[in-house]
Amino acid sequence: MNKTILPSRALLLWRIRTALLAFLASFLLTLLLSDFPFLLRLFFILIGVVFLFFFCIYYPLKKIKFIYFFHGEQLIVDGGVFYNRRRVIPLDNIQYVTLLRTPDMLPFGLASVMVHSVGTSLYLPCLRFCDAQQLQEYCVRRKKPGEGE
Amino acid sequence: MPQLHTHPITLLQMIWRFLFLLIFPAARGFLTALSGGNITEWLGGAWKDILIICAILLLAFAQWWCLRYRWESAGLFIRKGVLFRRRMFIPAAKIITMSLTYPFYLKPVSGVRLRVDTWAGTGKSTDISLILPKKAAQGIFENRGEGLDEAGFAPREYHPKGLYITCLSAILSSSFAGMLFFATFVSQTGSLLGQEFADRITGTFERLTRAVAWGLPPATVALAYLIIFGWLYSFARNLIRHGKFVVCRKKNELLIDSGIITNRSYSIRLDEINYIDIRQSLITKLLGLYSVFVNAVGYGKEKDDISAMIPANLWERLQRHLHFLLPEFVASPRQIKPNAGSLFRFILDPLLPTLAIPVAGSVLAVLFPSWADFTYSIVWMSMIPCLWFLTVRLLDFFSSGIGRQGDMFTLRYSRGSQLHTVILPKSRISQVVLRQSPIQAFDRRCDLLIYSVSEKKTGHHIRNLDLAQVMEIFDCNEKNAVPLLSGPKPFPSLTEYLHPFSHYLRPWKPFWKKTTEL
Repeated sequence: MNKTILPSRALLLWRIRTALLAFLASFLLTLLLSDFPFLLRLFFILIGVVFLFFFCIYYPLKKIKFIYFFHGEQLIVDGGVFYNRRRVIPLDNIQYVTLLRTPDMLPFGLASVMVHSVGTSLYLPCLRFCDAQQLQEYCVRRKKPGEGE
Repeated sequence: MPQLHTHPITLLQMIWRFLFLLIFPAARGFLTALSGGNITEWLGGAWKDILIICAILLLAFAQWWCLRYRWESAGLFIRKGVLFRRRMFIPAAKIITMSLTYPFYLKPVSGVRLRVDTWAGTGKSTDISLILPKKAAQGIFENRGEGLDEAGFAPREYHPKGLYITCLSAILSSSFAGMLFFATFVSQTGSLLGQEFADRITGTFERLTRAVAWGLPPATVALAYLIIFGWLYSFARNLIRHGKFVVCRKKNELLIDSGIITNRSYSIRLDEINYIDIRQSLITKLLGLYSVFVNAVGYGKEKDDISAMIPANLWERLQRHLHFLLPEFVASPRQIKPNAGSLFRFILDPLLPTLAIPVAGSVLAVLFPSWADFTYSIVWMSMIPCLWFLTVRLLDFFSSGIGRQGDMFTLRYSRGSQLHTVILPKSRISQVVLRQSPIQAFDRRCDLLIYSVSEKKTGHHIRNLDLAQVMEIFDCNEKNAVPLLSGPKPFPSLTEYLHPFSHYLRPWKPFWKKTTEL
């Protein structure tokens, strides 16, 4: 299997989520702190900085750095934001694979995958639905070396 | 084969479960007293209390009566439940660890606790735990052993010397466990024997500390004694637990017996051992002693369980014993190790408190001069664990790394105050994580976290290794990157910084040069 990257719509979804959360936080702040203009302004600036950080730095880096592929008898997932991480799971130790879809993922055709190994698990966020299905099929239905037809 | 009952002492266990029903007689007495009733009125309704006690006994008996087991060569069958019947069958081939515990309080009634553990269930509790008559439990234990043994394989037995068991007990002892015991002891004495008795104990302790303070602040001496006595208590417990320690290797079974007051026997499937861990504390490092621990499902799971295999030995002897008992696990020399420049990465964690505590102590002494003596003594006492930790990290720097021989990995690292040498088969690796910080990116190095197959997440952390070498040893070097170990390393390109694993030292042209030799 070739190296698979995250689709651009995953980044779009994360950005929409960030914008919605920022809007919700601002709305609640306006309701609660309308009598304290200084505090309200301070928190607005804080929310703006956090929003810009996630919108322009965190999620784009997360999207760029994320790659997964199969190499030998292993599933390799590269990721991270400020730290770089390569996670390697031997396919023989994979117990089962779960596909997760939240309602906001449906219109974008995205799905997250949880790979459960013995004692550990690995989360692959917002893959294309077809890639997620293919990954699940490959991990679960593959034949171990030496197994007959 | 008939289904058998567990030991009748299990009835007490069952009664314990229904004791909460006693709340009704207690509530009745309380309400009678509140409404101004006398003893005659209370006695008038005593039949209700008797009825509840009978119900408790009856429910416990029904539960015990319905709890049955049957052992056959294929596995263990268990039936339990009065209204909601449950039938369980655990195949013998799936049982990884079987253990027998002979607690001192069950010895007069010949009761033995049989525990069975498989890959199923949580990492916190045993899958099956039954109290059986001694003869029946031993029969099951021996029968399982026969299934794992093979004719023609001569069993190998190892009896460690008393001195080595003492060393192991010292390694495993911690002051914290002892202090916890003393704190519970004093508080429980107060509630059981009265506050006066508890006060007398604390008063005696206070007088004793003042008498042998030798010029030091009494509060400091009290803390020191508490730590010392806590450690001694923990040491005595470990010594009793590890007394009469014997290991026996059969074809596909490892048998471990130990204990003086409470005896314990373990039978572990050899092909299900996850890894072996050779541990050293700072003191044993100085003495040149090593202890071997086994990691397998169900072994060392509960609080008072044994997890050692070889108590304490010199390296050559340990290698001999290890080869004698488990020749499958062979330690290999270090092939990948941290570079000389990474010393700071190792000592940073202990260095911070080592520097911060004296500074904080001096500031406090200036601010509160009347407490200066006490503050300085506390600073000295806190410096001991910090310097201890610093020394361990320094030793870790000189010894940590990875070795590989065929499909067997040897991981050397430190965790807390202990140095570990873990021998781990490739098939027992659950996940490998290569973690690179932004600073490490410039040096093409990474931290390695290996999670071994286990009921709960078990990780091994090795610091600051060369990225390409780690990728090579774990077969995840998909681009056949070549490690660059000597000479100045070129500045990473943006592509390499963003994708360090797949672009490690790929030929690239730095903007200030036309060609670069890599």
